[in-house]
Amino acid sequence: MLRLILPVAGILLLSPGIAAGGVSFVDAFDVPDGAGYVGSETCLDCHDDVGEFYANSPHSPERGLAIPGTGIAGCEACHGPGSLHVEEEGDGFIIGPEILANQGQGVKVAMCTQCHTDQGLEWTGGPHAGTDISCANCHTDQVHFAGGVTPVSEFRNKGEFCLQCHPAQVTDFRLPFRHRVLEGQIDCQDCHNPHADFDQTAWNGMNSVCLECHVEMEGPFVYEHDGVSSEDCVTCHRPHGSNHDKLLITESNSMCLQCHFEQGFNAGDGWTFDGNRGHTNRLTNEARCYDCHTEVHGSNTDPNFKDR
Amino acid sequence: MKMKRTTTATVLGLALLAFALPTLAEETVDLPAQAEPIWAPTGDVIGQDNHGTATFQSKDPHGNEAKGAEDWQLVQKYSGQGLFGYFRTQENGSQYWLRGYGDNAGTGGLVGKFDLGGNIPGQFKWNIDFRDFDYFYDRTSEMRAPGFAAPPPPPELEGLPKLNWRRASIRADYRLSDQFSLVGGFNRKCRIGDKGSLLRGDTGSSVPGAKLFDTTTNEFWGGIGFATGSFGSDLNLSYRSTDGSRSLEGRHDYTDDQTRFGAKLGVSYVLSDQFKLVGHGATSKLENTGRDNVLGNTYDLNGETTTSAGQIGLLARLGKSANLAASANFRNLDTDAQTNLAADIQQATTRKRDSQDYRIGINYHGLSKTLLRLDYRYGTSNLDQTVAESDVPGGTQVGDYQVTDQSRTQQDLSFRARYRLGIAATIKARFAWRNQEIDQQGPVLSNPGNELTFWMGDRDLNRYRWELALRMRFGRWVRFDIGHQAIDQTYKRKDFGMSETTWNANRGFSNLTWTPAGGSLDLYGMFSYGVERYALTTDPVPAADMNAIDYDGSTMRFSPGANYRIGDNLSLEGHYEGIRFEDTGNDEVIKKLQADHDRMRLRAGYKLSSSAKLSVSYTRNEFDENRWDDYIHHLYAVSVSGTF
Repeated sequence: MLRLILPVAGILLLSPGIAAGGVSFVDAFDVPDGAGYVGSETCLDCHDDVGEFYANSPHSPERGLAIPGTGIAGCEACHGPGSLHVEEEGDGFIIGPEILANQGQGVKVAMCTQCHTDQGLEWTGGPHAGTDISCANCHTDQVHFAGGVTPVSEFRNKGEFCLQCHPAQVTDFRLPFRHRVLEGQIDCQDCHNPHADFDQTAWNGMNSVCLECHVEMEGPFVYEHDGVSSEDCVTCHRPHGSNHDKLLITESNSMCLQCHFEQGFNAGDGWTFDGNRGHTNRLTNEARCYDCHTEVHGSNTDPNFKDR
Repeated sequence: MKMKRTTTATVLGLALLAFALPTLAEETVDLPAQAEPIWAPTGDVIGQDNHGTATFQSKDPHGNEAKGAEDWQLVQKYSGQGLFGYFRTQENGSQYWLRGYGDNAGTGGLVGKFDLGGNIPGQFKWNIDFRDFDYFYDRTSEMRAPGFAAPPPPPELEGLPKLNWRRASIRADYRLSDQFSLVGGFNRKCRIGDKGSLLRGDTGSSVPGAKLFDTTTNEFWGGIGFATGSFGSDLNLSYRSTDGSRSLEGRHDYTDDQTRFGAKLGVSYVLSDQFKLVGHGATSKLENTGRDNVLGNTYDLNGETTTSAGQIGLLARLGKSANLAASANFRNLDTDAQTNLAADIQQATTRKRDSQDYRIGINYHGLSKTLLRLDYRYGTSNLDQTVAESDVPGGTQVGDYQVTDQSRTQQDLSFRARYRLGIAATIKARFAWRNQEIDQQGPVLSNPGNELTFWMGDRDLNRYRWELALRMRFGRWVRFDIGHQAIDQTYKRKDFGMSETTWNANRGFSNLTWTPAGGSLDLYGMFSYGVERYALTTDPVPAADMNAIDYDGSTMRFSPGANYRIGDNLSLEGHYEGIRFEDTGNDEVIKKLQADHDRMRLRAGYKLSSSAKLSVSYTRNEFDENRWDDYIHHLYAVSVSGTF
């Protein structure tokens, strides 16, 4: 518990001390002196097409939603103060689409997370962090003039949206044993958070994603399979799809023997695969490891994960 | 004698597709190559217009019913499918939608999903998601025995195993003010039915087992968010319970009674336009008070795991060209679990696992046409575990006990690079290395003759993984990707004569899409070939009749397709997908396993009016294996789609 309390307490104690130092996304740009905020109504005098685009969205200037705690709202929340731009009556003195398009991912994401602070929290180690993908690449419905991919609303399943950029996963989901994403029964987002890494603070790390549905493997067990509790589920399973039953990574016994290979332990028995039992005869009799070791994820009654 | 060593993959035929490409290059949107979503039901109309589709399908099946049902969830000879979407926007800007689809192709009952939601933009949004699907399982659990190709077929389960998954979730987000927001929801998952198990008994030639499920999981969760200026935070609480029963037919009955409570706090603070701090803290408590009935004995279970975890991270923008992310993660798991028979403790465990994990990642895009990213992760964990008989560890009635003291160190290094060769081509590369070292003391036994848990000893793992891809765009019409992926893993057991196993996988792939803008013909295709091999690399060799020790699998996939439009009203589509999987194993003792999937769909669509479309399709799915599970499905479908 101490390890939990210390970092959290440290952050909370640190925050008030530096609270005055926070600045907005706009400060990443060289905003000219004298530029001031004019309000979205002034912007829409010329950019009425943009107002139309946003008519039914949270970004509609009419809704007046502001960056939390700043009062800066509408167009200028993302494009910066527009007074000089208005006075100039040209394309200058504003953080326009071309300038934004040439920014790195960090700046682009910072623009959105001014308001979407929860996503800012999550983005740190996410699968798309550090790439050239930013919010607008996927949220094309929400950000005007954004290109990239077909909007999610155009698809029957949310999964199909993600697979536009992940064709390798399409092939996985066509394998004989698979999670049924293409069939629409499971979405990518059921397991993956596109904004964030697997939750490092979840009780069982990455495995927690799997255990949300496969709760019976969660235990806690008296006897844990080390391969379950300290490794990842993907050590043995290919969650997207596999040629092998139960989404195993390789053919049955070959998978178990990757780790459980101990030919020297019981020399008197010739060839063995288990620490204290000779298994040669068993494995020549068409048996698989889990024919006997049925409780391979964990057991409360048998240390060797058998039914007894 | 050394066993077979790794061979590299042969990537065949990939360049052939490239010769058809036009050489004219111009700037284009950087989309990946992709095939049409041919898997969608016949005549789908989707989008943000109100729409609906009704489909009638007839199946002409041949061969193994269970395997076909497992692959495609198709059982009924005649079935219907429906798909719809309804959207409405009020004058005040509020929006509502209902989307869904369903079919009765499985057991004849209706299964499917719907998504109902609404919002007041910027203030309130809600969503209800419901899914109800049946999963079917093959009746046999087959073994790669030396003579497996010969009759008779293996024993099989009676009936067709079917497991129903029903899930529902409700979520609502409410923005109280500029600074405060609330979020909450409810999730429910039910599993009812039976599924095929890999279990077949000690001899391996018995009827496969079946697992029976009747479990329900409910979860309530809620949170509050607060943000002001540079500071953001959210607090989430959740409570989950799982009840029900499971059974491993005739051998083991389970009564589930599990609860979990969790709390998580997240904070972020923008220090400047260059630095941002983030932090998470979480705690959870998992309890299991279920019951196991094994071979006539009923055991009461009492297990509890308490977790506390924290994460603190720094995001930094280093000039205009580089970003840095660094974080430290801590997790502590404490478990106490015991099994009682009547009032007597049979065995009990105390387990403490502490782990620390430090990560740093830098990406740099200061070089022309280049993006670089380097990540490094260093983690350690310690496990202290005591398993005891007759009492909890440290108790006065303890009989024999065993202590496990294990320490782990893991390093992950990853490097990614992307270089734009020109307007039309980009090369991408990724290399990753993992090293894991596990030191395990002991075994420390109170009674050396009574080992209570399996002891693995010291072991090391080294895994290299790399990917190389060339992405090309020719004009606005042609997209072509080609690449190679590989994994090379070595696993050593230090305490057993330094035994060593290897696992290697290689895969080559290519995607081609040709979509002439405004033209009448689209072409697309994909080809991939992969090899993976598992081998033992140290003496002694296995016994001559040992089965399934080597694994040497290859998978080839070929998937071309075309769309052709005739005038404004008629469209023709054709798609083929062929997959061949082979496991050569050890040819001397195990016959080669070979499985072919041949899938084809032909579809014709005729636009009846600006808002209605009629489609007919023929689909053929064949599975051809040199064992017993062959089947062919001929599917004929007609559908009407409309927007309104």
